[in-house]
Amino acid sequence: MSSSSALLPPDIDFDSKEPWSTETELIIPVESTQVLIHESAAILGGQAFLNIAKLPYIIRERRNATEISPNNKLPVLRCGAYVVSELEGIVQLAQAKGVALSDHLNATQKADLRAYMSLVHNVLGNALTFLTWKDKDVYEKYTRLRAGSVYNFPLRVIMPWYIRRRVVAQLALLNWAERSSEEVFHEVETCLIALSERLGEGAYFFGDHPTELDALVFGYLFTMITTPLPNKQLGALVKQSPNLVKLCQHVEKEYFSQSVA
Amino acid sequence: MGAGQAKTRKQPQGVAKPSDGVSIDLDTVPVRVENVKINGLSRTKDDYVSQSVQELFKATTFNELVFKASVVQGKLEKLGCFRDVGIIIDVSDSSPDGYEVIYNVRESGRFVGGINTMIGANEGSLVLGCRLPNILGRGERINLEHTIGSDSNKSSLLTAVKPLGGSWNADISGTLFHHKNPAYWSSYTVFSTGALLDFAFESAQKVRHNMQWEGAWRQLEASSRQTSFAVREQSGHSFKSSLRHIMTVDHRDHPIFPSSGVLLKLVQEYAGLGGDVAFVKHDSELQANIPLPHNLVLQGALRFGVLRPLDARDSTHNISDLFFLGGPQTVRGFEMRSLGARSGSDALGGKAYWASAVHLYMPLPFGFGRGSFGEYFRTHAFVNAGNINDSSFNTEDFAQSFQTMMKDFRASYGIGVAIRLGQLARIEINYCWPYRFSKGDRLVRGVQLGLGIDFL
Repeated sequence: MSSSSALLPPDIDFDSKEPWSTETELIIPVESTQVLIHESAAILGGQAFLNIAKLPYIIRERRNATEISPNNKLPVLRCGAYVVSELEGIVQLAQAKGVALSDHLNATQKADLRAYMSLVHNVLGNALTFLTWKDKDVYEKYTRLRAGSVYNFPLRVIMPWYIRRRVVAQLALLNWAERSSEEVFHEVETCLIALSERLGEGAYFFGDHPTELDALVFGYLFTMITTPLPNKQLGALVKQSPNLVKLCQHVEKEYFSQSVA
Repeated sequence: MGAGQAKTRKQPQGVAKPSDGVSIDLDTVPVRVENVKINGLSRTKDDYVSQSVQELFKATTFNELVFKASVVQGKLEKLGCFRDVGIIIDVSDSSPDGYEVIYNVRESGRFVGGINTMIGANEGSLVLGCRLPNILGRGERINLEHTIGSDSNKSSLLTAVKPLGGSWNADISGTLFHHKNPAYWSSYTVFSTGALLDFAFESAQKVRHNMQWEGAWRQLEASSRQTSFAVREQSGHSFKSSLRHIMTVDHRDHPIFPSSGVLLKLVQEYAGLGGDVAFVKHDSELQANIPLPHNLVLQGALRFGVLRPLDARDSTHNISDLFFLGGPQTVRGFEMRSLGARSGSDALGGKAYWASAVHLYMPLPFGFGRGSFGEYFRTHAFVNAGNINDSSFNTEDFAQSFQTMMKDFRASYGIGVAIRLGQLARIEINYCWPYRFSKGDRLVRGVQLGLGIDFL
């Protein structure tokens, strides 16, 4: 779920005078039947950020969450008159309202943070998308059923095919379409090693306070560990780096104790 | 129009003066049609053509024969198989009262292509089309059309039609379509792809029915980042499978500038035959024209529509299924489809509406261009009123619903000029004064330009 434009500031001028609305909605697909692995990773990352930043929100399940999103990416956050998507959109909106998790960092650290966020997006995001839509086994047993689940016939049949065509075209643009699952696992492994090295023995990536990078990484890793996929290899890869597992446990305990069982 | 027709219409009074000076009343000249000949048929099947000429044999007087001959000519032209049709009426050698009618036809080619312009709701469009007429010899045809509209509407159609003829004048057609319809008044765009089956017939003279099934995959998209959330949250995919009945009773003497007659149009749609939407929709239109002295025409028109969601499902309809009101073709003096609930700059439409109009049509003043280009113009004065409501009309609580529909209705009046384009479209240039409106309505006080086919 990465695109270069997602990392650029969207062309909206946020009105910073308006405070964070307490009616803010996090719009996600139907969790029990519809949401896919790469989507729930992105959603969890967004939730982690909001929880860490102590910004109130209500979760709204909508079967057309993807289409509501301005760029077809999840999660979608609606705050007052603004509709933003993905963790980056949420971070920017929060910043405009005066809430930021990475303000205390110096310029080098900020550049570092952006570089790692981009890495996680490009590798883990694309890898999960690839496995969801291009891995034959996963597509047949999981993705196809869920992607069509909220529709009746004939969209129940058309929509998985339609979304897959779009996703595969996107992956092809990023040179991800023609890989084998083994190559993808290898990419993931390399990325996890890089993250594990950056994290070291610290509690979070940058000092004692979590930033949006921690939120993003948590979203992906937690999903990789917990989602029961036909292929359990992803979880095993994460478990090779105990410090990353610890980070996940830590974030979950600190910031999800009420909302995630 | 063949030369033969011009010849037969030379005797409007039904009286001919042969060279010896004795006048003959053609109404009393007995006639027996013995033979009807159609020259020029090659791939068109005889039985398909012959059912159109049957009534000629019923002619008993010469005048009747001439009249029927031209009616049949019209019928033959309407078959869509011929480029032109000419008539020759001749005496038959076998008996003294015997006549023979000969039609000379030229069949249209196997392939017809063209570029046309078309006018829709305040937009013009370019139609690229090709047609395979009369494929199997009984009027079957296939049309392929691609339309590009000035409002960046786009549509592609592939239609196959099979005329069934008979006394019901029935035909059956199937269409595959793909449309892109941007709705700038609500800043969304709908892409719809699907199929339409249509069975059309006449249950009585001038009473036309269409029974349709439509299956359409609709994709609604917010057209910009500025689209209000009330519209944006309706975006997404849905499949509509619906049955529709359209009844048109048209007794008017002209489709654009009628001077007398009544038009009644009823549309009923049941959407919910599978698919993801479930609603019932009624739309109705009544127009009456009363001729007055001095070529004045008084026209009254009323439209009423209601959409009722069927509660069985959670998402029963989206904004593109709703009614919209306002603009030069319905309630003049307001912006196009702008009435009713709004969110930001977007119209949200309604589940029930009514709209009415009273027009007084006059020819151009001082008999300007009468009998020539003046026939393309009318001046009119009008009063418009209408309202649109969020909630559906509830028949169980009729009084309450009626009150809601009458409360805060919008009205306007004005004068203007209407121009007829061909036999279908018209342009109106009006000066409008809105005089009943609510806060937040988008008024057009002054000149408003209307272009289209359906005018209230």
